Amino acid sequence: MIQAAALEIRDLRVEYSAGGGLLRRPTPVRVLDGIDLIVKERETLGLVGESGSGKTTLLLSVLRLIPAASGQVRIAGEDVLTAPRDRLRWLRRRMQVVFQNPHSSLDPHLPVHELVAEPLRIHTRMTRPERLGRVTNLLDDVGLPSTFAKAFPHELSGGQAQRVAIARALALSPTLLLLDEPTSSLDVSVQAQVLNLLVDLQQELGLTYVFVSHDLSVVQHISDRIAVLHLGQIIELGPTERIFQSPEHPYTQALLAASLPAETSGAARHLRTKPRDRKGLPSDHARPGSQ
Amino acid sequence: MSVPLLEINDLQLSFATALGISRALRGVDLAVQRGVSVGLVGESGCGKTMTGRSVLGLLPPNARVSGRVLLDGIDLLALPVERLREIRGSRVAMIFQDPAAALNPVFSVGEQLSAVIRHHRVSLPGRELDKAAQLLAEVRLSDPERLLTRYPHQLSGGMQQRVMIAMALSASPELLIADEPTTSLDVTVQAQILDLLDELRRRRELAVLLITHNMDVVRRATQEVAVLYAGRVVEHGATHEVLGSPRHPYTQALLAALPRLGGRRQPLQAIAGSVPRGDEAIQGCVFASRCAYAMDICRDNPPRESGAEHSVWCWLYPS
Repeated sequence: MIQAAALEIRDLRVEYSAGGGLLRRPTPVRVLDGIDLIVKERETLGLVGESGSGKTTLLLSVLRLIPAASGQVRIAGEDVLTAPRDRLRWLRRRMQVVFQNPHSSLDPHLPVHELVAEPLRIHTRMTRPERLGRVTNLLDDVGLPSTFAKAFPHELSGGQAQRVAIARALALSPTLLLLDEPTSSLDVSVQAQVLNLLVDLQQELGLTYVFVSHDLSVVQHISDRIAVLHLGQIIELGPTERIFQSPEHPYTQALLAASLPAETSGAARHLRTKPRDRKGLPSDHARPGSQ
Repeated sequence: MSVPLLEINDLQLSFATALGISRALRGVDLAVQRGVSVGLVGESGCGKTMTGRSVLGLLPPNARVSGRVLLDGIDLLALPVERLREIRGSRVAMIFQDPAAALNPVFSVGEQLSAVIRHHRVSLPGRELDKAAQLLAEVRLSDPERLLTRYPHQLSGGMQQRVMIAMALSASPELLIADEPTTSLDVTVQAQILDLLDELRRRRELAVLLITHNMDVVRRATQEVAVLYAGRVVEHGATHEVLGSPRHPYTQALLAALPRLGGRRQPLQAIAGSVPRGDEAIQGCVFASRCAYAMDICRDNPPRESGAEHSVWCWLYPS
């Protein structure tokens, strides 16, 4: 049986204009250059690349928060880029986004229960008591006691605030969650909590994730497949194990070489990787950046 | 072991705030030898940056500090500010996380470097730009003469950090404090900067205190590592020892919380509870409230150091 696609991107191009002046015509800079990508239902696709590679632009153009020059972004068979207003509204219920820094993405003036209820107020006809009931369930889903409902964002730790952002994203029962560096601003012990939560939620709710990160060990932990973005193009795409064991593109090899420690002692290596995975690490000749 | 270049003993730091006293450091013990890079790791708020800043006396006015910070036997905490100023930059230099914020946007690279060189009188008068170009070449920046005329915004993040390193090295310091020097950089650039720091350490016999939250950075760029938690060093030893066979329960928990290659989809081990707040007075071990092995003695008495080469401050390892 063919697995259905949760997100289908065809030949997506995004341009920014730059360098324009009073008399000079701006020259378009191509930020995304012919992106083709299919994300299957219930899978996690990791999107990696360095700053400026177009990771965030890709997420924003899928949400149609920035205009695309050409191409298609299909969700449930419908093209987001050309959808009329009312259909776009419907499509946006199916895809939600979680940003890197919850303290800047959450409105500081609203208490938690209003932050989480806001999408329900805008997109549904739920009554106030219905919304409150839903908020309580959502907070429970993300592991926050209901006592947090009246708190304001500044009273929350980074991990708690990111849980609120996730609860808000889940409010409309989306099928697709776009996660833009959701754990980059968190400490490792808290990052572990949030990553565990995301994995649990995916299993319970059957969610599809596009997970953007520059941290390869995080991406490797959470992703089924990985797409490597470089200068606006996907230069390598494949199952996580394959990408880490035998990266084909020289850029992917360089990226992996730079992230993996140059010298790893036997003891340290034992801690980080189980023996059977050891041969799975790229060998030294496959890592042009390392000597 | 020889006498360390930098020796920190029982360093305590607190801030007087409107809400009372907030403790940032609760007795840090740390030593850095010449020619050795020591990583100082820990989570946000544990006191990494404050430890680094205490060495140079770069603390806010409401800071109260006690203990000893010995540089080659001189207690920096006891020095009058004029004497400390002579040490800043010339014997101990510091680089920061965000080079774009540390460089002045309205002066060219050459002007900024020359000013530092002139201040430290490390070149003949009028020859500051030659010295500046020489320093830029040493940090492996190509075409140094051209670069001298550039402004910070014309450089990439990696180039800016190299300029900061060149500036820090201008008066040939013995100790370099690097506070998250690669955190704002991409991984490939990060690796280049770490390799550069390592090269400089070897060539100049430089002692480096590398402050970071990133275990991969520690693994790649340090010989020793000190693990900081709630304002105390809880473990210190050779990097491969500490990361390979961590002894302190906090170090063990911290490493277990990292996603590891090959450990995919197994739930990560989060650390229950939260870091003690600054206004909490702690009698015993700083980690006792979250430690799975905590005993009565841990809550009542601060643990002593045990182990010579690989030190751990924990009652599980009686001295």
